[in-house]
Amino acid sequence: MMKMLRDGLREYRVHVLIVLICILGLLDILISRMAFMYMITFLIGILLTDIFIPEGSSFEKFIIGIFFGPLIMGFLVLYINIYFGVKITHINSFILILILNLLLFILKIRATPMIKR
Amino acid sequence: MTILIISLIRVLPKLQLLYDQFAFWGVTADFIVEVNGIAENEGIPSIDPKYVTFSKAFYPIRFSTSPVWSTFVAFLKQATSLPTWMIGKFYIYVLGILGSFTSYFITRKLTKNVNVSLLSGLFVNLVPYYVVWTGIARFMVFAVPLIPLCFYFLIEGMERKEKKFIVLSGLFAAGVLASHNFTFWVVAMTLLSFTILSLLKCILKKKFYTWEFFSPIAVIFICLSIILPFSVKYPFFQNSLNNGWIENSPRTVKQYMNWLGIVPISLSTIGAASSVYLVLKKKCDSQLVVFLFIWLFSVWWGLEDMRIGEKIITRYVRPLIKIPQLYNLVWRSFVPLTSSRFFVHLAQPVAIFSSLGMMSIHGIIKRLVKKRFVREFLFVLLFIALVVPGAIHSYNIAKPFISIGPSNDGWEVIKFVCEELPDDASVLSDVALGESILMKCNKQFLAYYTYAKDPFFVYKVWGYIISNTTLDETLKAISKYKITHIVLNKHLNSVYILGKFVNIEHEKFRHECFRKVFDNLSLEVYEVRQACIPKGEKFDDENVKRWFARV
Repeated sequence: MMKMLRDGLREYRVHVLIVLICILGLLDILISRMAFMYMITFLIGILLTDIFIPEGSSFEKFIIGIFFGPLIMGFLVLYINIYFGVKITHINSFILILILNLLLFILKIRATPMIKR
Repeated sequence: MTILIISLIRVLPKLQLLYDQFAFWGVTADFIVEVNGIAENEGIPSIDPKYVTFSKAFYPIRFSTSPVWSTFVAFLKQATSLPTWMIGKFYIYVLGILGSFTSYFITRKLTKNVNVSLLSGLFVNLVPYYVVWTGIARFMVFAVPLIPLCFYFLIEGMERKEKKFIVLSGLFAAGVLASHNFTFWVVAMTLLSFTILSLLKCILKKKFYTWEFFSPIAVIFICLSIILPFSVKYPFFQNSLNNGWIENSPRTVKQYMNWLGIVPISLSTIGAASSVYLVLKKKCDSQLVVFLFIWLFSVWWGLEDMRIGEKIITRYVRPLIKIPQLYNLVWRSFVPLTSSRFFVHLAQPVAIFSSLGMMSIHGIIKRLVKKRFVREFLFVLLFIALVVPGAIHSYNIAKPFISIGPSNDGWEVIKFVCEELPDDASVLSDVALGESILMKCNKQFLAYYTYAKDPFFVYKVWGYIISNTTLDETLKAISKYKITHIVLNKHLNSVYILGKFVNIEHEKFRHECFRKVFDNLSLEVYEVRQACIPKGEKFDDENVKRWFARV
């Protein structure tokens, strides 16, 4: 059981990290806001790149992810605001990150072959 | 690792010149205002926050550019509660540096040679305008690194025949398209030319159902389908075509040399010539060279004076198209919004050609010198001889730009003006600082409303008041435009681009009619004593025009 949990955490550690930091952010006990900014910009980009382009070196993924993350999130926030009227507030930002994280998590699970799972 | 070191060179001029300032060219106030406007409104406001305080008769009140990037920064601002300038600074450092990475990727994709790719990454950092413009917290810094990524994934998709790369290419194209009016033109023109060429190639070869035929069309389709939902609500396309910064001065060779750098220009000329030679000799992939020329030509077309396009369209296209609306569309599509900012987009194709030029020089040395050690030594020597002066030239050019916008001293003045001066104060200041004051605290920066039809007249009035030699004339002008405070830049003549045309008459401001209320290292604020202002004497606007005709 512990081994499974450990393996699961290792496999999806980025998602877990995002959830933890979002909870800290929602409780307003973020230690470094700058680090949080780096995290949501880079990590979500890298997660996206990992799903879209699983092949390729991690270096390439990192570079492309840095551009990819902000772009996707920019369009997403813009359209959610314009068409669904969701306001860009402190709490909504965290909820959006959590939803995006969940979506990426589901996509990653779907992309992982059944045998590996 | 090498490319990382190469990219870090990009940080050097900032460390040397402005370790504490977040931009070379500091006209970042509009970016900050737009982000703050979105954050305060908790969404996209109906009126573009950049233009709220400007005249609605002259400036567009709805978004002229797509606020994708500013929405993202506003989102980060809301999530982290960090000030906007801090987030802007972060993006300048990260994306400005990583621009050379994307050049490296596209060159590696095109040439399949790591050495050429590394060189292109280096030469991008040697293009002065790239150094200057990617050091600005504006929409350019987001768009420039994305253009190579768009082409990278397009070529990857065509080669590997996979849909996801085409989708990624379309997404990146949309990101560039949504960045700015100018990037709209660059990406539209380059993609369009590339599509037309690949279609022609497929038609000539009679191969229609191929990835080469459909990929560019799919990229355009995806890109438009991402942008269109925004365009339905906001007149983004119309504004991109209509409202642009149009500089009517023709480009000179000196401008090209100054802004693109002598070393990259010379090397890219050698590279272009050698690649054409290799294509003719059938020793090189013609598709690569054609693609590079399309990229270079499309950006150059946008950069050049619009009269070239104007001549071609009016002479050859007008007699053919009889429907005025159609002619109007053709005119707007092919006569670009010229701006010197296009030089930044020229940096990447020029850098790729420069790296090709450097490699062709290496080839020539290889033929002439047989001994390997001597050959490599000669190449390294030549490389250092070219790169070092290139770097010095490009990193020095950043200097004239540094004080155009609010530096740290500038922000002190803006803070002083916003917090200390009375609400009805009307401040006369240079353009960038004045706009920042206007945007930050809505104080009067001369009378923009009054002169909405001729905004450049405001700049002329500023020049007239600070450089006019006679005190009486100055006071009359101050009375006419109801100015209460004047901001002076002590180093205007040495650092400010407009300072080359006007000289500040510092002595005039030592008179008792002016009282110094603020002073720091580079700026001072004077209050005009109301008792000195002449009453009943009229000031004619023609004086300003006459004065500037003389300057």
